[in-house]
Amino acid sequence: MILNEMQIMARLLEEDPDQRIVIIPIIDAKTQFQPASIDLRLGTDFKVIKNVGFEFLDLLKEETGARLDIANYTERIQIPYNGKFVLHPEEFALGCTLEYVKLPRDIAGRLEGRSTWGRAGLQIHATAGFVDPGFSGSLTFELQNVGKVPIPLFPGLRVAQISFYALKDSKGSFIPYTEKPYHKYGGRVETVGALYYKEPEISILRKIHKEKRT
Amino acid sequence: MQTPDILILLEEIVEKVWRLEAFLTEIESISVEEDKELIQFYRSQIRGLKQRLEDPITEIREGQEDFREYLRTYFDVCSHFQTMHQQFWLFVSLPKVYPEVYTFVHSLFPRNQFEDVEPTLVYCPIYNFGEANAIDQFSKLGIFLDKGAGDRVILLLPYVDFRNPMMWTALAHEMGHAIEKDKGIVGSILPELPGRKELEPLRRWLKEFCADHIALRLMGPAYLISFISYIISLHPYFYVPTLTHPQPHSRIEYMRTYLERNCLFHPKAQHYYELFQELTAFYKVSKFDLQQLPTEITSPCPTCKYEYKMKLPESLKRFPELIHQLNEQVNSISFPDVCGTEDLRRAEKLAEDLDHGFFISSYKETTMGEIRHHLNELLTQNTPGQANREEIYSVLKLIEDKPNKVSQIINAGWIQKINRQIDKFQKIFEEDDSILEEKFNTFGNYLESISYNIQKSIETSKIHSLFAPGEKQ
Repeated sequence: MILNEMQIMARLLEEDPDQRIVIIPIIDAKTQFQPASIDLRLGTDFKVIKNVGFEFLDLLKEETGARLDIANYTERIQIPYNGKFVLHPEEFALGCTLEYVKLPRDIAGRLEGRSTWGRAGLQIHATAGFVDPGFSGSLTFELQNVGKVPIPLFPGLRVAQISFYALKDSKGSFIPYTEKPYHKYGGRVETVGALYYKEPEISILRKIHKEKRT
Repeated sequence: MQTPDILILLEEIVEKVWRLEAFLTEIESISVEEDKELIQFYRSQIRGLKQRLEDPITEIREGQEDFREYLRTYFDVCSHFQTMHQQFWLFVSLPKVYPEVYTFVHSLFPRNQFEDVEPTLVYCPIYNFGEANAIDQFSKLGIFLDKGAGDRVILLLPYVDFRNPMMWTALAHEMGHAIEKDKGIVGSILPELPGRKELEPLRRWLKEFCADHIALRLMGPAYLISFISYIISLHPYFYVPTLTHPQPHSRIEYMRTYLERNCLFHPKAQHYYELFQELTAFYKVSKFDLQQLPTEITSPCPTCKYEYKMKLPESLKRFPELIHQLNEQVNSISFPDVCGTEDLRRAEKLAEDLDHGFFISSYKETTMGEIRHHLNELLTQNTPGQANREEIYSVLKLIEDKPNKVSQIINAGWIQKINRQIDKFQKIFEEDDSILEEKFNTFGNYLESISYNIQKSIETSKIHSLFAPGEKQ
């Protein structure tokens, strides 16, 4: 079941903190609340890809090497509160919401772009629009300009919306996101790049390929 | 000295060492291949500092009380930390100062009100905060610049606090110097007369108190706590009065009096106040009363045989009579956000939210219970399609947040730190099965998440104030 605006509001005001949806801050409710979603704004923290001098993404590198690779091929860009980030056609960057979002264990979220910005060619996520029950932190945008003209992005713009789905079992998920053993992005309030080296499959692959070489 | 006090000192220096390493990681991300070896060298030095801290932490955990020895280690690590801090710029390129630091300064000193003292920020190699301008600096070299760009205020930020908003309170003090200069506050109390060089120390002291007073008005107890957090890592040599600076004891007493008079002396500030008293008593630093200042002072160095001697001019005796005039002038400056008792009350609540990992950028004017009551009324009387739109919007309006002030956010950070950080520190370093480096990483991740949260809360609150309906732009 997808929540309507009043059900979202009721969940934001829920007495039991474990049942509450948290969104901080809500700046302008009249414009932010949509019939079945709430708009989210763009923050100031971005990550861009520096591909010059970087040959390929070696998924099988050990954690220290992988961390260094990530540091070498991504650059963190923090723009001032009154600055702008220009996303050029076909460019990709990571960004994050201005808001802190926390979901209870019985609510999942779906992050989507907003029609106005979609029409201008801005995509705010590629594949990762689903927000697990129990997630907390800032949500990451996978920003891409699929249009033909550069788009200036200003912190505070409402570029996205999140809708909420109540799980059929009202007790919610058995193991919410932040209790999962391999969760990587929970609780983070800054823009975080791909932490692929923490995937358990990567450690297995690393082992297999090491054995193959020896 | 008691065990908890030693632990606080150790926790303070562990945090500083971790922050220095975090700056090194930041340097590494922008470094060229040729810098790598030097960065590795610095890393090995930082590892050495961590290893030195391991023994006292372990021994205290085991119940040993060789405090004199632990303090010696603390003191050595502090000295080494400062030397390393000072050497960074010599060998590696430096990253730029983050925009959040500017947001912090602009929030306290809005451009439209303090246009003439709008600052730029640069890193300071010495572990120190400062304020300068190019005209003054160049004139010492005999080069005389015109007003304009050369007159721009330059604030100095130590590397180690590049992402530590709780210490940025010191920038409020440095901006205080710029404002004092701009408004000619000390000059109006004590005019500069040719040939009266003996008045210069008195003038310098008044300027320090003036900057302290401005920082206190804006930041409340967070300024006092951060000042002590900074000063306890310095060589005891800095604990005596000099011709440029009053004794830290006097400044701390002055701050305490201000906070008490304004009902802002938070119990958490008492904690750090006592720590400073105990540390200086341990170092056997003499305390000089401003009302009866001697003309010659001596103070033994706790770490060597050197005895500090200094002649103070007679003119400093005029200090107590002038300080009242100074206070009146500072109190007459209008700031958009002065820290008051209500701000501290909110900071208490925000500290709890911060502990739960929430953003502390905003608050709700109406309680959740009240809004719930209005919502329930609306929902029981109406079904979708029936409700009056104005009625819906008036309930929605209640859920909107209001932006918090920077002083509320920073004070919340200090309250949370004093409430929780020492327990967290102890818990992490009590783990027997993890190696030292892992303990530092775990503690570092904790510090990083809190710092990010505070930084982002300051930034978000600023953006919030721009976009909130009805807010002044």
